[in-house]
Amino acid sequence: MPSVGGAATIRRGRRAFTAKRAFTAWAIGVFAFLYLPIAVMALFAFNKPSPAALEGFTGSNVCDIPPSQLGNLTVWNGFTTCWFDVGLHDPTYIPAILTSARIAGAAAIVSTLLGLGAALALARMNKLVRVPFDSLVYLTLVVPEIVIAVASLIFFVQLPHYVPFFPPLGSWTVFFGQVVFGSSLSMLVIRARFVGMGDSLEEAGYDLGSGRLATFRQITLPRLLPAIVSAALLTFTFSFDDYVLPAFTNGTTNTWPIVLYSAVRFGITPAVNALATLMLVATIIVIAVTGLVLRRSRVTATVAQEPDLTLA
Amino acid sequence: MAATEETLEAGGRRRRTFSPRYPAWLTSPSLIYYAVFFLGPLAILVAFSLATQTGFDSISYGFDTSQYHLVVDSLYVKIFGRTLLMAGGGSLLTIVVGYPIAYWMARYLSTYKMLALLLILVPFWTSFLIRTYALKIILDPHGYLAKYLGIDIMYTKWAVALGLVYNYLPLFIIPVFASLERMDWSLVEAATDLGAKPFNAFRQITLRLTLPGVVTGALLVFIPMSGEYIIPNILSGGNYEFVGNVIGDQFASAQNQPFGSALSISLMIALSGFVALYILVATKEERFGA
Amino acid sequence: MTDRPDHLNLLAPRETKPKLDRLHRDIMAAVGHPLSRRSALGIGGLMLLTACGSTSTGQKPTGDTTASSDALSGKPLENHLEIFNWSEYDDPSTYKKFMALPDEAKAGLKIHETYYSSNDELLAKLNAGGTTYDIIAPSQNAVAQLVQTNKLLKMDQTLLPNKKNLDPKFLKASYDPTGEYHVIKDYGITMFYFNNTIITENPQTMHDFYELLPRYVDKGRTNLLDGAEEVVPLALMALGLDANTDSQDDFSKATDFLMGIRKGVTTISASSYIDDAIAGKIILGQGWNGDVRRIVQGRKKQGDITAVLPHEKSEIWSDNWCIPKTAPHPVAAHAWINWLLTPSTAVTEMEYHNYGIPIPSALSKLPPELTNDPLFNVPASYTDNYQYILNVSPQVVQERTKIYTQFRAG
Repeated sequence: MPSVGGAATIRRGRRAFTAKRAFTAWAIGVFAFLYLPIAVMALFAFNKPSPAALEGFTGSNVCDIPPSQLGNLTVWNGFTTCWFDVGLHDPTYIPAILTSARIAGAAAIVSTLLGLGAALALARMNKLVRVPFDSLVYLTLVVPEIVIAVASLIFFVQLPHYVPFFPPLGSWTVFFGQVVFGSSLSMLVIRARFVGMGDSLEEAGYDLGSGRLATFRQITLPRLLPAIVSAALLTFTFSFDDYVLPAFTNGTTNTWPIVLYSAVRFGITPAVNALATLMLVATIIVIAVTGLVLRRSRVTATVAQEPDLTLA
Repeated sequence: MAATEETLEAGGRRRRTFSPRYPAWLTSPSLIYYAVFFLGPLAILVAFSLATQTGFDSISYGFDTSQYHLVVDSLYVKIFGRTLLMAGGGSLLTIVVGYPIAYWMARYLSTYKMLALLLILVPFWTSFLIRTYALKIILDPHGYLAKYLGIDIMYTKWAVALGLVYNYLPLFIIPVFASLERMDWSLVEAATDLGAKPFNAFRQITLRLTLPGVVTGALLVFIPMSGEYIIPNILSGGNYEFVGNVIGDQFASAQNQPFGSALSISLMIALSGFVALYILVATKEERFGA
Repeated sequence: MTDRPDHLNLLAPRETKPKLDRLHRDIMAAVGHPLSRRSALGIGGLMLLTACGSTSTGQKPTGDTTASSDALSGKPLENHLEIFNWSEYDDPSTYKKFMALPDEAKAGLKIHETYYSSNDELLAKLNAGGTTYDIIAPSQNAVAQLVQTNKLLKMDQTLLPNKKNLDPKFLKASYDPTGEYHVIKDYGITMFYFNNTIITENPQTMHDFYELLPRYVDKGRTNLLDGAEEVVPLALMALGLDANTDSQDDFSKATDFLMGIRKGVTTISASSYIDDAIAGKIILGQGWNGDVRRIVQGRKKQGDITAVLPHEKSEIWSDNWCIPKTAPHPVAAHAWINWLLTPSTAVTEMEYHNYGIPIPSALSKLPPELTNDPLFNVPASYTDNYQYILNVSPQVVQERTKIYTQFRAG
């Protein structure tokens, strides 16, 4: 950090301090905003049926009341944990969640790989090739999802007539459809980072004798890794939460948003809140554990850190 | 950096002894994939838009452009304009809310960067339906927010805006973060040391260098928002009609694939204008890449 | 997933269909592999080049392309049943008990269910083709369309002995004149309700309901049911017109009427209005009788909801069991429908979803608070005036959609 003089340093330091304070405050506010509906959702997983519903009920397990008779569930009626049981034992919920997770995982991996290749090659290609390709990528983003869903449905129905082993409507077709958007997404995310990265370090690598693959592996890839991971996470998220495209191309396969969306018509029972809460908790645990593991490996293996060279 | 500029200025003709370029065949998996799974359905769409409907489930193909004439009906133009307004407003709000977070994550966090990233994404591994209904509970006219803070925006465009921002925030934050993350902050410090006001340093250095990411993020948010209809439906109680609703209605309710397709293609053409803008901006900014 | 020979593919030019059918039949006699048909059809992009003219004949030829299922009786029960249904519309025990029935248990029959959330979704999928559903549950307007486009299997009545339990009035219907393509699942009517502490008037008809909207919208939330197939026909009926009209004149009247009361409508939603109404958030709204019954029950303590069965015209609707023509397991499908027609099953179902199933022996087994409740057991004096809304023709459906779009856009 170049030092120009004590006073300037202090001035800068104080300004930086308030700036950091402000940004942190904003971040906290936004995180609160992001998690408030989640907290509400988790809270209502423990909600009892309405007093009116409970009146007419003679059984022991309040969660046995049929969904059509649960009453008003948007207010707090009391605490119960029986919904977790209902959710976990419902024959459609867990399989649908697993199906969604499977498809999303596959879509994330394939999308990221496709996007990575495209981002790497295109960023440095000449305009003649890049602009048409970019246009194609943006076209995939510009099509409203319902439109591509209907068109894809018809496409997938017709394709098996021409391509012998093409799978019927189901997880595969959902996957195929989602990778289109996913690969565009990941290409853009990775390229945004790649372009700002500069090629000086790679140049250095080549100059020092590394081959192309080695340079990629040792220099480019580590620096690109956050973007790659971001792209994978983003496409996973998009795919897992996708309703419109799977609703048309799923055949007889249930994904989680499909199960939810059709349940809404008759009123979502707290059982789905319970499951969503469980998924949330599971995800947070996985993240925490991964974080701890990484922290440990970071402490012991300092070599993995990239040198903080700034050859601007 | 000098080497890169030279190569670009010469229009790519002058080659150095090595080329930090990646082989062109890396794009072919994507290309082939798009050709099959995107252009295939798209071709069907185009064929539909030029077809004529002859029954509930049958159309006859041809070159009937009458559907496109119907698109310019004042009703649809009005809805389209309103949609762009909503998407534009929603995107703006998303940028305002999201950029500081991405900046904060990139600049002030070191060990917890990925954690913050994950924390932003985690809410989105629940379902958007549950989230939006939870928002509904929060925004309820008889709920706590309305009663104690007087904020009653349910069923209005503000509720819709809130819902959109909420659901599209990570889509914006991630590319912006990816771009900001590579930022060399010492440049900014050097600038302020040399007397530049912090905001100017930000504008001329940070913003310039990370513009590709911001524009990517903005587009990634604006374009899907234009086609959005489920979230507005839930939060506005069906009070607003956007292009996504219209197209959905045409395909589903009216079962009018030709018209629905014509509408979709018109929407796509309109949105492509914005996309062209991006390509212009992004290409220009690449020269300033660090 | 095989493409059934007489399944009209979405992408086939209409005028070539008779030719292709004939060709297909000849080939079937020889080989059974409809290759020629497939090579004649093409996906969209290729069709563009053939540039067929549009010489539509409109109505599909029925008759020889109707698949009769006479061949079904005597066929063995399959071991799988694929149901495509609304979510949470049937009691879970119904499925379990079906699989435990002697024949079904012996065949090792398993049920798999997928869901849709609107008839439009169902129709879109059936129209696109390639479906493997055995059982679907379309509403009456969708049944009408599916019968017209020949997508339903004509049921084998010998496999449905329990049909004798049905009230004969419900065997045939305007949406399925021969009664061979559907079996009624349940039915209901469209009515309205209001908060009687805020609205102290006495509306009797649907028209009264619409008139109240602009006057009370400031006092609280008002709600209409959504969907082009609800909004427009209900308005037409409120004006005393035919819900299934195709007259431009009638449509203009409906449009003017709807736009006139648009300002009085806070929300247009058919999902989640029940919970909101029970919470007292809606002061005036349309609803289906089963849902309105829940609302009245839910607010029994406050007692401030008045439910009105509309005099004069309103909608009667039904959800129906149908078997797609491409069903891979038709015998199981018939068995399922037959099971749903047993009185004990009907009782369980009615207690679950609270809508009427017209099986007199089941109705008599229900507790009196249900059977005496006009919101459950809607008297014929009302339903005789009510109409089924149908998907009459593409033009009518599209006109309704256009008006609906205009209405929603405000």
